[in-house]
Amino acid sequence: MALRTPLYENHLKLNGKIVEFAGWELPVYYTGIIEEHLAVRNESGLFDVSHLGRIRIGNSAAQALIQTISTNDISNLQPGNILYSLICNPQGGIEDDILVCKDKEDYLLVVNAVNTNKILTIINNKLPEFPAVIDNITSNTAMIAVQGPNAATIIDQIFPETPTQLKKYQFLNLGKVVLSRTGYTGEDGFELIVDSNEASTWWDTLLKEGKENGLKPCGLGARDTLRLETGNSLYGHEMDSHTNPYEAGLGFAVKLNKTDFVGKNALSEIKIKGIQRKLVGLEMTRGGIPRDGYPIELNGQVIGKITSGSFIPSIKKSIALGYVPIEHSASGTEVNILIRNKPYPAVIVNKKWR
Amino acid sequence: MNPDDLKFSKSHEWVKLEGNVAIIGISDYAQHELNDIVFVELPEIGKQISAGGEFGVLESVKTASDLYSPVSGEVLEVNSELENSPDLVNKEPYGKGWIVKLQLSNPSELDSLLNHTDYQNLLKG
Repeated sequence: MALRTPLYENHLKLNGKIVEFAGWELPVYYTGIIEEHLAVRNESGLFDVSHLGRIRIGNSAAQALIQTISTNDISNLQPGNILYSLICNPQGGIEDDILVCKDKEDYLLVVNAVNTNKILTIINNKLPEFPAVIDNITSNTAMIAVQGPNAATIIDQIFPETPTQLKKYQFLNLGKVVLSRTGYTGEDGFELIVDSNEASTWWDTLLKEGKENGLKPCGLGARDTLRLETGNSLYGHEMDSHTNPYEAGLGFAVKLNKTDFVGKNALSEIKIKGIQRKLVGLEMTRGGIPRDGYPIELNGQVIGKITSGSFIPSIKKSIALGYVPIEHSASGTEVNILIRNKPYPAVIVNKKWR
Repeated sequence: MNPDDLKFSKSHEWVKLEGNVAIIGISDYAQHELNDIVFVELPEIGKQISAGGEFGVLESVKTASDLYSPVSGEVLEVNSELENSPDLVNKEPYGKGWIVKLQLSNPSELDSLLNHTDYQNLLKG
């Protein structure tokens, strides 16, 4: 049975169309994906992202534990700062992409909903060697994102002066609220982690305070089109346990010169040998909407496949992310996407549309 | 068009009979479920379609959905306005958002379709 976030009733009140995603019942939209996508690009949007896993890791073993399971280097991460990192398997495949938040006393990991249990297992398996204290706070907290050009104005109304204190990838622990300047939409934005009992009140307060700045509740549909337009990867689509960080364009989050970590040897080898395929952006040139799994063809040969694709309302284009062999990955390369077995022309482009 | 004058399939398409020509579209419920429709793949004129067979695809932002014909016949006309304004299916599912016109080959197939009241009862479950 699917899980419900503490905001489930709020979504029903707002006529959210509920779907199951990564084991959670969440709204895919309230009024429409196009309207919600445009709200975030032009004004602001409010998202329930409580499905994301939140795991606190404490005591003196915490840093060494996180260093050993993840690819980025947190040794210089200062309190109040956040680092994007990956958790890989010994073969160098990606098990998750995560945020590591360094709090005063401990660390907070934010992981993908679909991977929360897997990451807890990976952590637990390391506890005999690194006896840190683990607290999975996912179910007793909620997480709410305020995204868009007006997000800072709205947050300033509720938490005065905080937007001037917070740079991108920083957070403040305000006691009842952990407020970070993070998001997934390609806009300026903030995320709040609050007590699950207070989630509904925070949600309503944000909607009320944000009203004059166009704050609109937004569902998973817009969250997906916004991240795709930004070129952000989604676990299970652009990354999985058989994808390595270099081909996914995430090599910046792998620090081979830090202390030993899971996957280090395999990743060192991949880096020396070079990658065989690469994640690229694609744009349809004469119609058709690419979707996850559709084949990419060059001269009648299937050379790769789409990992995410959609029509994007703000740019009125159909775009996609997908893997192609490195020798065919140059921008400007013309390919076909097979949509229901019919070839539609597309061109490889830089995977960032904004 | 008044939905009370239409016949509905369980797969949420409607048919309006004009002489021996069937006009086909999707129900208001279906357009609402699909949400923002951004592309309609229309069949070729002259194509033979059988009842229950696929005749096109509606693409919303989120997903692609096949269209199934409630009746058999030959495609006489497609709504070419949908090429530039696919959102007509959302805005006027029973009017300017119609999808194809078929030359009906087996009029008795209409008997197995639902009237508007029965269709609405089906939606209520």
